[in-house]
Formats: sequence, structure tokens, C-alpha cells
Amino acid sequence: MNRWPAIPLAAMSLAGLLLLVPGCGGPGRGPAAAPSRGGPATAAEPREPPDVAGFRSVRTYDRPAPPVRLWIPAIAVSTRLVRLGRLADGSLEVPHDWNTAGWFDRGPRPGQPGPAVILGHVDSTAGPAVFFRLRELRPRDIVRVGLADGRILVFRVQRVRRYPKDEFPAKAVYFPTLNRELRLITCGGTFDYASRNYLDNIVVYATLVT
Amino acid sequence: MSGRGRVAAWTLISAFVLGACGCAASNPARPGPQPPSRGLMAHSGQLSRLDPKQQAVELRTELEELFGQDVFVGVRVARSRLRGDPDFTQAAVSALSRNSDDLTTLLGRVYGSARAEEFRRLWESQQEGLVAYARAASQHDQAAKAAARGQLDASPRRIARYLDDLTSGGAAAPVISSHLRTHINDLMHFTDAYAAGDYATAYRIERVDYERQFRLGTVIAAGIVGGRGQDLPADFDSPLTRLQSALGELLGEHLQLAVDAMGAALRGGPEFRADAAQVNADTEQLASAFGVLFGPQNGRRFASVWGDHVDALISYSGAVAAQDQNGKAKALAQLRAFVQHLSTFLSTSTQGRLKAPAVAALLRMHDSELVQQLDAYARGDYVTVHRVIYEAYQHMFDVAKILSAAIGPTIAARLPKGGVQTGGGGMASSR
Repeated sequence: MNRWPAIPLAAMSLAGLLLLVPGCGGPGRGPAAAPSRGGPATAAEPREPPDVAGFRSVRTYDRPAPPVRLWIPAIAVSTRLVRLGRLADGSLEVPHDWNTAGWFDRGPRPGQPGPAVILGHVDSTAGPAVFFRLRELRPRDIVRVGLADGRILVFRVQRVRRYPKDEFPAKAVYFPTLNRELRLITCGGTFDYASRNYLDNIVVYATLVT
Repeated sequence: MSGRGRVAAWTLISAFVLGACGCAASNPARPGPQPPSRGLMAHSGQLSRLDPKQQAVELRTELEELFGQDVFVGVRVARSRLRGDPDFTQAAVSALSRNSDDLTTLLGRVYGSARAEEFRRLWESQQEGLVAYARAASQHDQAAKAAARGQLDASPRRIARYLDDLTSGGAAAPVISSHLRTHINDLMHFTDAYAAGDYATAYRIERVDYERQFRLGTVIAAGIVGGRGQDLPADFDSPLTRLQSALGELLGEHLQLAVDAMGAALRGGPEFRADAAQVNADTEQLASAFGVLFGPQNGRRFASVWGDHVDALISYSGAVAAQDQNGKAKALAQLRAFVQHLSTFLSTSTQGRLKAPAVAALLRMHDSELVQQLDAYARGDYVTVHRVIYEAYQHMFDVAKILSAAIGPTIAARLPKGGVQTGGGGMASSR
């Protein structure tokens, strides 16, 4: 595709602007001189040439410390976080303590690229549990995660969704898209007294702010 | 990955490798007509219309790529102008025109060339303002800087209004306008910082602006595909599309930053350290991404292999500057070793979904393009420099597509299964 003939006046004026620059040669010139050395003409002081031979690329990367606490002011949640793995059936392990949330330690940590996953119970056999009010969260609500090194990460809620457990969209929830995100998960919907399980899951999607 | 999917992915790889070899073979330094860009435009046949609903992902990735590219090319124009390198500037401006040409062609495939021409006029007017600002900065001409600022003032509003109208409200004017105003301010700050010799600040701004403009491509694509208040096709923002987009962003950035660091190494420019710091920052992000995708140990392994790649590129540039033939040969040998190590790593990590020889062909081409542009730079053939960079950047998005197509199924097979049992008493039942 020969596109130059189609370049309209605006493009020509961009090139024309350059031709007004003193010392700016046209395309018909022969091979240019060796690349000019040094920085901008306006730099105030002469500088040492760079140590190109001494350059060595970075060979590591910063991995955030593990999360240890969670705060969700809008629903009065303040909890420590325990580590969670996977069960034999491939689903996520859940916290043993009704009032403590946990994070899936084989996925991204909060602050890393990808969705970090935090789980908590909605209720216990005796009353409300740590994520009882999770479904009340709304877009723009703030979630804070404390890391083991003392840093606190701030996430903002984007949306809240309810999914039937037997149609749980694992890919949408867990797939590492490389965006720094958080998923907060608990139970919701109808409670099946026969199996003593809720039929749905509530998932809160949040993205890293700072 | 199904057998059918694997065939499709490797058909893509083969097509890409063969196409790229064709590019490398026909490598004249031509100052005249530019070769066509690939992707949606290359397959357009000039006249065929693009159906945004059917080709939503391609439209998104191509807009992201082109708006991101505009930042690096624009910055290269400003930087060379400030350095007093007029022939380089001339070639960079041609690349800038090529970028707006590609954007216009892409929009024209959706809305018709007549409506898209207005975009070219508005976009190039904005680019002219930024070039004028860089020229004024290079001449310490405060009045001319103020005039350029004035020229740019109305640009975000005009472009945003145009895009809002074009997409029937899909790309909302306030959002686009805010993006563009920050973009213009960033590029002016970049120019001022670079002119003051504050390269660390300048290059930080450059990367932030690249990320922002990349996302502008996403926003505009969503506006085109979805229109006002309509649902987007499922694959437009699917997890796999987002992975492809993120890998493309990082790999495209790597290409551009590596080019700049190599150029600074060749020139012995004082900005080399700041350039190299940004290459390192990109490497860290890539390694972090691979650490999430394949586990921390593999992330560290990737960082080590990728670090070898970057080191070899910088060594090559230093050797060219010193006219050190042994140094060049050693650096090229390091690049060959890198190709072998990374292709093996990627093939193993994706459980064979990526075949090592095919990946090696992609990596060799990437290295070859970086070496080729540096050699052209050393002999002052700036037209070739910019042509090779332009195409090498585009190739990174093809690589991202191929990688994500293989990584996606590998990761999907390892994801946790089903929902979670996080309730015990029925107190919250159907509240």
C-alpha cells in the first residue's frame, strides 16, 4: 500500500513545520553524519559519558509481602488474613475460623499483577460471620489490605456479582489477566438446609488504587 | 489446548515467522513511500469495511498499539529536536505521520475514509503543536512555547467531540478529553524535563504516558464496538483478551525502551542511565507477570534470561560505538544463547503448547530487528531506523497474541475449580 500520495494537507504541514527548523534537512540528503553525541543543546552542564560497559540488567523483581490484614470500612470489616490452599477437588480451601478471612496463597498476592483472592464466611451455625455484609458493597467503596512489611494497599470496588455455585465462572474470577486486582468471595443466595450450603457465591471485584 | 486450537495457534506462528522473514529480506533504506502496516489494515484490501462486533478484539489491540506507539514516536521527535539532530527528527516525523495515517485508515475501515480524514486533520494538528513546543524549548523561546501551548489548548476538546460524534456517544467526550489533556501536559513536561537534563523524570513521564495512551486505545475501541450503553461482545474484554493486551503493552514498551537505550549507548548520551533504568523497570514488570503466570521460581528464571537479552543488546551498542568487532561478535553470540534459553523456557512453561523452534524464530527476528536498527543508526540511515522500529514494535503485538494463545489454556487448566463453601447457618439466605 503506497500511502504517501494520500497524505493530506495536515500531514504535509507537519513535515513543513520541520523544514522551517534551521538545520533541518530534507529527505534527499545523503547518509547523515555519525549520530550526534551528548544530550540536549539546552542541558546546562557537560556530563560524564555513561558507563555503558558497566551496565548490567536487573535480574529480579519486587514481589509484594504476603497480606496479613483486611479492612473494609463501608461494612465495618477488620480482620487478620490466614493462608489458604486448595482442596482435593480443586476448589479453594476456606478459613476454619468463621470470623477470620483468608487469602489464596498459590495465586497472585495483593499488589501483584493478576487477581488476588480473599475468602470469608458469610455466617456460621451461630450467627453472622466476617463477610456477612459483603454483598452490601457498592462500586467505589474502598478496601484496604495490610501487608506483612507494613505497607497498606488501597483497592476500589468495581462491581459486585452473584453466581450460582454450579455455574461459577472460574476463568472470570481467577484468570491472571495481569491487572492488579482483588476478588472478595463469600456465599449468598438461598441456603439449602439439606446440604447445609448456600447455592450461590458473591464475588466483589476491586482494582488497585495505590 | 485442543488439537484444533493448537493448529490455529501454530498456523499463526508460521504465518508470522514467514511474513517477518520476508520483511527482513527486503530491507532497503527507502525514504519514499512507507510499507503498509500489518493487522486489520493490511488485510483490508483498502476498501473492505470492518465489522467492529465481529473483529472487536483486533480493533481493540490495534488501537491500543497505535495510540501507544504515538507516544514513543512523538517523544523521539521532541528528544532529537532538543538534541539538535535534525535528520533524525525528520525521519521521526515521517514515522509520526505513518502512525496517524494508520490510525486514520483503521477508523476509515469502520466509518468510511471521508469521516476518518477529519481525525487525521485534528490529530496531526495536535502533533504539530507538540513539535512546535519542542522546537520552542530547544530555542529557549518562551513566547513560542506559550504560543504552542495555546495552539494545543483546544485540541483535546475538538478531538473528543469528534470521537464522541463518530461513535454516537460510545467514546464519551469528557473521558477522551481528559485523557488527551493529560497526554499533552505530560509530553510538554517531558520536553521541559529533557531540556533541563532531568532524564530520570523525563523517562518516567514517558512510560506513564504510554500506559495512559495505550488505555485510550481501549476506551475508544470500547466506544466503537459497544456504542452508547450497549453491551460489548463477550470476547472484547475476556480474561484472555486482557492477558494479550497486557503482554502486548509490556513487550511493545520493551522494544521501544530498548531502542532508546541502545541509541543512547551508541551516542554516549548522558540520558543512557535513565533510559536503562526504564528498560529495567519494564523487565521487572515482565518478570513479575511471568512470576504470576508460572510461579515465582519461573519468574526469577525469566528475569535472568531476559536480563541476558538486555545485557547483550547494550553490549552490542557499546561495541558498535567503539568499533569493536570482537565485542560485537560476543554480543551476538550472547543473543543466540538467549534465544535458545528463552524458547526452551517458554516451551516448557506452556507444556509444549509453544514449540521451541517456532518461538526461537520469533525471538531471533526480534533481536535481528533491534540489531538492524542500531546498525542503521550508526551509519546515519535514519529512515531505515524508524521503519525497522515501527515494524518491530508491531511484531511485539503479534508475539503477545501467540504467547497469550498458548499461555491462556496452560493457566486455565490450573485454575481453582468451582465456587467456595463459605457459609454455615442460613442466616444470610436470600437477604
